[in-house]
Amino acid sequence: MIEFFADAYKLLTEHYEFLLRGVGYTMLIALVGTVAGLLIGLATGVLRTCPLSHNLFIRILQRVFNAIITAYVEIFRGTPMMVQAMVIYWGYAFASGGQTLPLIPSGILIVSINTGAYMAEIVRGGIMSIDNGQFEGAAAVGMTHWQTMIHIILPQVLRNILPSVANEFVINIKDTSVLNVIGVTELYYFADVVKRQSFQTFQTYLVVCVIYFILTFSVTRILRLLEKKLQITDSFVICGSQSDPNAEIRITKQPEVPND
Amino acid sequence: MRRIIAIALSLILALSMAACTTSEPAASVDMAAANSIADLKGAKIAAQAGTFHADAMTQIPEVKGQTLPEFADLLTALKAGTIDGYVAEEPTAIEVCLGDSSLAYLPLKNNDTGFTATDADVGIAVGLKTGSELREQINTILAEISEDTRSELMNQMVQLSAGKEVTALALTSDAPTDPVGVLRVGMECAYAPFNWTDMGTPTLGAVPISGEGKDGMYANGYDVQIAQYIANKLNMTLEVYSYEWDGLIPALNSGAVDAIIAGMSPTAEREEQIDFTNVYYSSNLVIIYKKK
Repeated sequence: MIEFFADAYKLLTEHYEFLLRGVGYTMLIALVGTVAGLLIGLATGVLRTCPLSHNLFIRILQRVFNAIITAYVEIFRGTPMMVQAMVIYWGYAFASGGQTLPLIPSGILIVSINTGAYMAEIVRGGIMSIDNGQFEGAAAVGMTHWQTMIHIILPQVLRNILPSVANEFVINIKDTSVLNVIGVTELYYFADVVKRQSFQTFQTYLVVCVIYFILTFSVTRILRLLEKKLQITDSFVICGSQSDPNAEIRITKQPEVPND
Repeated sequence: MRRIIAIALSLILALSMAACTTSEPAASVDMAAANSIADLKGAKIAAQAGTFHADAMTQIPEVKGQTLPEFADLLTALKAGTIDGYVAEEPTAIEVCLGDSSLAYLPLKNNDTGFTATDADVGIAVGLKTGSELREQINTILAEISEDTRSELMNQMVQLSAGKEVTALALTSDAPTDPVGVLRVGMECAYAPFNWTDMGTPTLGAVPISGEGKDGMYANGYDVQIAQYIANKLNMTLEVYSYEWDGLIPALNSGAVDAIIAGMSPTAEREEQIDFTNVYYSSNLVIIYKKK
């Protein structure tokens, strides 16, 4: 038993340089992938909830666009990321006559479009969860769809979907491990190399398991803090005047007592 | 109608799960006492998936065979006791047994006490794109390496990968002073003593692995030395790329590498997709087992 942990410790001290590099690339790919995925999700969410235009040409364009987004979401959500990595990486190599995509950017690309497909659904759910009265209210004061989204809906959506986004981030940290099939040098890739060299399968994977857990656990804790910060517990009061049309309108946390 | 479709779909799902079978209890086979593959009747033997070894395995009577994706996994399975032994080439077996005294191997001879195999099955050759002009040139270069040099080099590689000291390699050549191009070679870098990875400190004759994020990683082994020799004789610089076993042929066919030198046997199935040169090493298939 002691010998086992001594072996694991020896692996860690011998190869820490490579394992650290693996951690770096894993976090880089997961972080950039999640952020890019969220942006894709927000963009598709806004476009998909846009009411159909009265202009026939624009309406057809919208329909085509919605169909493309639906196809994208369904295809990337419905196929394993490992298979997508193989198809994209080798597909590009065959199509370009031997040029291969640079590994780290292609890893980021694959994670981004994959996360984007999930985020599109998460954002759509987030938008649908906002009370219809808010859309009506925004329309009543003459806001366009774009204005409604930017100023009213998306800030609330972002706060509501934060737990799901955090979940995606954690999933991405773990799922980057499948990118080793195309040779992206993330943590699992180095675990494989160390295993082949040392032939100590169990020890190697135990060390890597602990590293993955430390990464995901710290990320969930940090994002939990962020969630707490964004939570609203106070009630808000809109201050203005019913008699003076030029009076300033502002939102405060506490009800203000008028001076006079 | 909808109900019928729903029932049909759930049936298909349930049936797809029925394909999972449960493993049977271990049959005890005295591995050390076996003299030929006939004595291994009913043994639990494993081999690397997608290799000739996996086909050869079925020659053992009533074998309970299984395949695993990577060579290192076979050793893990053996040590964990889930299999009685696994198929490997003799140099690999010597190397593995040098590194671990609890292991031994059955010194089977091909087409005698061991597996029935042709040179195309157990010999290893350089893989090239179909119709490559390099084929004739490489065949000429390979013909210059004598049988003695080959076995001496393999012996040295076995020693090197087991962590022993080797002072001078049996096969050397001068690096080109004015190279005409780059020879990109693909291999697993995970199949000692044919090709393995050195991390941090390179062993004698090792070549850095090319590719993003792979600094400080070196490839060495019998295949690497052959690749180095071929590149030097072709007046080219050598670049080694590591790919998964199943990624090697796509890498060659897409043009990501110019040649596969990865202990790959020129089997008929592979010949359909790529060309092979003459065989540059041929070894016996043996079975590695755990001593009682």
